[in-house]
Amino acid sequence: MIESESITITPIYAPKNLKRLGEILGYEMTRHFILQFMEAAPTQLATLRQLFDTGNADRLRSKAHQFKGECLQLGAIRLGSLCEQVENLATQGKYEVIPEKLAKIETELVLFEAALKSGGQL
Amino acid sequence: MSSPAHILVVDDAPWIRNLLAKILRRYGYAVETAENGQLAIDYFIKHHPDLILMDADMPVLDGITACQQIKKRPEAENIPIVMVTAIVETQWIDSAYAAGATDYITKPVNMDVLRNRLDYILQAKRAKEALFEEKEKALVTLASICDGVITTDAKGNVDFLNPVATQLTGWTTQEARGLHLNQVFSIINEKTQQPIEFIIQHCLEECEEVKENGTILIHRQRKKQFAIENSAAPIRDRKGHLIGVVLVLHDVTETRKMTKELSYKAKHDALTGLYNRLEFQAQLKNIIQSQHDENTHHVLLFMDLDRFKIVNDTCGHEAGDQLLKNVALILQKTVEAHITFRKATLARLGGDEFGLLLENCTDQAALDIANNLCKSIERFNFFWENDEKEKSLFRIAISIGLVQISAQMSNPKSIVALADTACYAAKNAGRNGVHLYQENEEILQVQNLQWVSLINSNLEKDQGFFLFYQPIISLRDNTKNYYEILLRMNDQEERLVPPGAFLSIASRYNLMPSLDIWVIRKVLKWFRSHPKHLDKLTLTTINISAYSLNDPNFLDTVINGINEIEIPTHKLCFEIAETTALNNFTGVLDFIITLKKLGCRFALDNFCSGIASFSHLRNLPVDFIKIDGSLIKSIVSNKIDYAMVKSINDIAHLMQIQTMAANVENQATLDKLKEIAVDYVQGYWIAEPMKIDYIK
Repeated sequence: MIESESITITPIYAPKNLKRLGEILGYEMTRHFILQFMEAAPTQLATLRQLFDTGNADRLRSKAHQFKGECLQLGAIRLGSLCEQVENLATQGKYEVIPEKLAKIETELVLFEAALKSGGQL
Repeated sequence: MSSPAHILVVDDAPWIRNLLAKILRRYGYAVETAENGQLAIDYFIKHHPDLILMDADMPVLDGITACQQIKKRPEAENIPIVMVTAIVETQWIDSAYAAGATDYITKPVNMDVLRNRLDYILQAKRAKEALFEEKEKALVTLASICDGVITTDAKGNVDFLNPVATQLTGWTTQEARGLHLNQVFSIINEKTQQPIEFIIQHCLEECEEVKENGTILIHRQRKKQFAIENSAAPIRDRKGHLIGVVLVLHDVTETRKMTKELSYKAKHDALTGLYNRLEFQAQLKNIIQSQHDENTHHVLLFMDLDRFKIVNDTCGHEAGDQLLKNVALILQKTVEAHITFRKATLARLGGDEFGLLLENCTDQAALDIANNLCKSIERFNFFWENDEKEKSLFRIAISIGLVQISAQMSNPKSIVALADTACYAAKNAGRNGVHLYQENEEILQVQNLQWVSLINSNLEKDQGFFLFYQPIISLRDNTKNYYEILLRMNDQEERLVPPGAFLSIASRYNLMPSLDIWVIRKVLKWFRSHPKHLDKLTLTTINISAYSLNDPNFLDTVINGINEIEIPTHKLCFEIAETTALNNFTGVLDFIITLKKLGCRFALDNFCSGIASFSHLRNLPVDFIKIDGSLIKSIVSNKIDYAMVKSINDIAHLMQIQTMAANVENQATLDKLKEIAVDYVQGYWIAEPMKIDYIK
């Protein structure tokens, strides 16, 4: 799978983004935003799963799009990429692959948190 | 310090929304947020932010639709909307711009790019607003100024007209925009009245300011015209390239009208509208200066109204002014009718004096015109009704003196003075006539002075003058104890000169008071030496001239003369001409009242030669009226004159005034007068004048 390969070669996050945010907002405020993101992330994922379960494709696409934006803005490249895949699949009506992608998002969230901690961001 | 720019951040993702808000606040902006397009619209309507940063893909109402709806609002014309999106396809970018977006920025948002882009956009917005304000100020200024302003592009095609320019031309900016200035507006040269083009061509070609005067702008509807002074100045861009022309139209209609009026007033007489004396003299001066050819003839006419003073004194200045206006019109029409190819300048020189300058005109042609002017004025009947509805009818005349302007004449005033002298000669010759100044006029002047010398010397001599008398008969009882005293002068060769020959000279040189005093003294002295005759005499009449009544010493001299000699004063009757009474009513009344107290009687002479004013007669305590001889002469042949004499006679009798008829020269006239029942008659048919020494 090209997508799996692409994830494997893509870094979990781009430290440059967070560094610049830190320069602008200060490290405390940046940390505050990271924590906010991390606290809200499980809820975001749960919402995606609920929308999938209820078959609300349009809302699923929209929510995936929104989560993607937040991930990418924080520099979570791989999470953003997975959200974009869910967004596209929902648009295309390819529902069968979506649960797998949602599972990967859950895994990637754990990896992202770990990466942030090891990078001193959390 | 200006307040920070107010930015609305619109995003459905709360985390991003808060992040962007926090960062933008750090950048110094005042930030508010909304979570979808609909809320963004609501916020915009209430708060009018300076800029909207809006996510494109949102639930409820997406950013592009919201942008489109906001931009439809008139107040949103200048608000920048920056779209934030991850979508970068060409089609999407096109629709964002089509919806009115100012710019877009992609997600994830690079905060440095965002800051710079927003700074630039807000700076551009402020510049645009400042430009708009400047434009508004310029438009308000242009709308407020009194001049018309038109701008064109570099080809001369109209861009803009301010309200005054619209008012002057009849074109609005919308109607004229894009059309060439010369196609749209119509102007003519004030002097030539020929169409001309606006001066912008020179301005466009030479790139320099041009000014123009003496132009008339014609309104689009052709109903109005404006006198304008216009100037055109080039408009250049920063690099100095010509990008258009600004044309300023200064409406000088009123100023030019006032200038024309002032110029007109300076040259014209306010009452009659004819040229005034100043302009007449200026024209005369021009003629003199340009007269180099001996064969060119110009003639100047000096005209003076006869009997004008009567109208002024009896009916007031309002009537006099109206008469002058009528006379001016008659003169003008007559001159126009008889001057077909020559140039004629007609002017009122002052009072009742008029001047006419005929260029390239022979003496004979000028005389013909002068005679026509006399006839025109003679034919004119001036009717006047005063505020009390009293009606008067006047017949006037004009005396005209002519002088040919020769190449040797250089002084305008002298030429007018010569014409004045000629006019005086015309008056002396019996008024209503024409007199052409001759080269030998100066000889006549010398002759006049010789007459003056003779009159003066005769006044000193015992035999210088002789008293004559002409009997007057009473038709009631045929008695002849009445007569009028007349005067004859002895010339140096012992010949008797009739009064017509010397009275005009005596009048002109102010000798009439002396002559009247001489007559009165001589008559009184004669009565004293002929007491028996005086006993038989019923009445003698003595003429008093107008000039004597103007002499302040005359009345006292007469009173002293009467007091010196014991004479029944009721036998003395002084004859005063009707025109004299009308000209100097107060003086005449004073004279009559004073002498009436002494017992003297009075006759109004030449009644009906002027206006036969019975209303004045009512106020003058005269005993007799002597009906004018010219009227008496025609009562046989003219029924109207007969009726007039009869009316005068009847009215006089009703007023307890006795009537006398002069110039009775045949039996038929006498018979008619008897028929009318006139009281007294006098004339050659009755008795010729005789020396008083022959009196029986």
